[in-house]
Amino acid sequence: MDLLERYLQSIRTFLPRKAQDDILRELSENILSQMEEKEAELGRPLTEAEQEEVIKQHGHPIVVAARYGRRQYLIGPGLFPIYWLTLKIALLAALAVRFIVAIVTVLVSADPVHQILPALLAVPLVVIPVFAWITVAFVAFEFFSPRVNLRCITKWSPRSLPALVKRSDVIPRADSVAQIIMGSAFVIWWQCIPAAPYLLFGPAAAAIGLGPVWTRLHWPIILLALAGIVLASVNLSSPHWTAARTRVRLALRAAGFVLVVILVRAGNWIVMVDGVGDPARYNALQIVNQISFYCLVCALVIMGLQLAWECVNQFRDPLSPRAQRWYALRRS
Amino acid sequence: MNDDLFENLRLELRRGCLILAVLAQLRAEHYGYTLRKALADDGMAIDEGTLYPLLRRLETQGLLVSEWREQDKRNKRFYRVSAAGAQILEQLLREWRSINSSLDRILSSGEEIRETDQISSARKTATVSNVEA
Repeated sequence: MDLLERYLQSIRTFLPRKAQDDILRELSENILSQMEEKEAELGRPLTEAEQEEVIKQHGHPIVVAARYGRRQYLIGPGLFPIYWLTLKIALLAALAVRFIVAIVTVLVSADPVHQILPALLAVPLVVIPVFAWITVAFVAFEFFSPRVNLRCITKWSPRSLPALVKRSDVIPRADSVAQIIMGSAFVIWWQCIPAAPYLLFGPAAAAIGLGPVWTRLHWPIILLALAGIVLASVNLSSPHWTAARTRVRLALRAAGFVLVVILVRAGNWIVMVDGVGDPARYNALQIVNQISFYCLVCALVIMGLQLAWECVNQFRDPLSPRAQRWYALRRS
Repeated sequence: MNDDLFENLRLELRRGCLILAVLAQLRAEHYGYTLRKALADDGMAIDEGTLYPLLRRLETQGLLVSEWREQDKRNKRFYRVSAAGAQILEQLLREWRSINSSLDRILSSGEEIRETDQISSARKTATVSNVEA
């Protein structure tokens, strides 16, 4: 019976101290009864292999001991949906905050190009502590849950639920995430350009650079992009258009339009780094500025039409079915 | 995939019935091994790893009582249903019978609908054949 004793000894390791003797005594008796019956059937003592087979039927010591445990889970099925939702919200919020901190670090840094990588690499590190703390809090809650009343689950009314949102007002979360990522990438890139013009001009950065108007508009452009990121973040947390947010979006479009108007009027968008020099270089610069002009005018026309269309819909009826159809069409 | 799904659903269906079967079987006294055998003989096989912890849980809940007693020169723990357990067993049996009869009604009404559908489709076929003739 060496095998049986070794089996029981292994189970003992994983059992609660108070119940060890009682459980093992009973388990031992049941296994012995099973073996005795088999011996009676065969008319001879069991071989070691046959004993092993009987013992194996009972399961691995850890599994057997676990079944005697009072709790088989850290967070029960009743609490798990709330835990999962809280975890998602907390992770999203922590990542957003850490991401904003990373962007601000790059923006205020004297050497933004070399700050980008460490700042962005630090963002995912926030996931582990948030996951750990939320999980620990819910495990504790599950442990004390018979004594704690979760008011938001037990005391609720259909009247306190959010108002009905029309399908056409829904903002896909993927859109908001894409806007946040693209907006942040733009802000970092734009902030790095004064220190590293090759990010815009490539090898030509040795000869050409941005004109003075871009320096004047550097921070307004960044602020506008940041405002877009904030709006996308709000949309991510509450993914449907409201009248207030539609107006904010209109205001951002109007501000963007004004910036492009200022740019178009300024001229000299691209300049030579070390003066104009010979006539051939002057002509090339003129061509580049001419192309810049046409691009800016095209952008101005498109933005103007977009703004006018949104203004018409906004002031006619902020959430009219027509405006909603248009938003839905534009999104699709 | 279907086999896994069936197995999961089968285990879910059995889980509640096992408690009922154990309580019912323990109206007569048994120790763990003979209880398992008695259940298996009546068609309700249950593995040791499930049965023994279940017995302890039911005892903790006051539905079973147990005592160590010598039999065949060895000490064994004998279980039987307690007074509270017997009461709960009656309630559970009433519930189980009610569920069973509801399920029978649902299944028989499903059969009736199917038969009606078969009759009406047979009639349609017959009408079409007559018109063609």
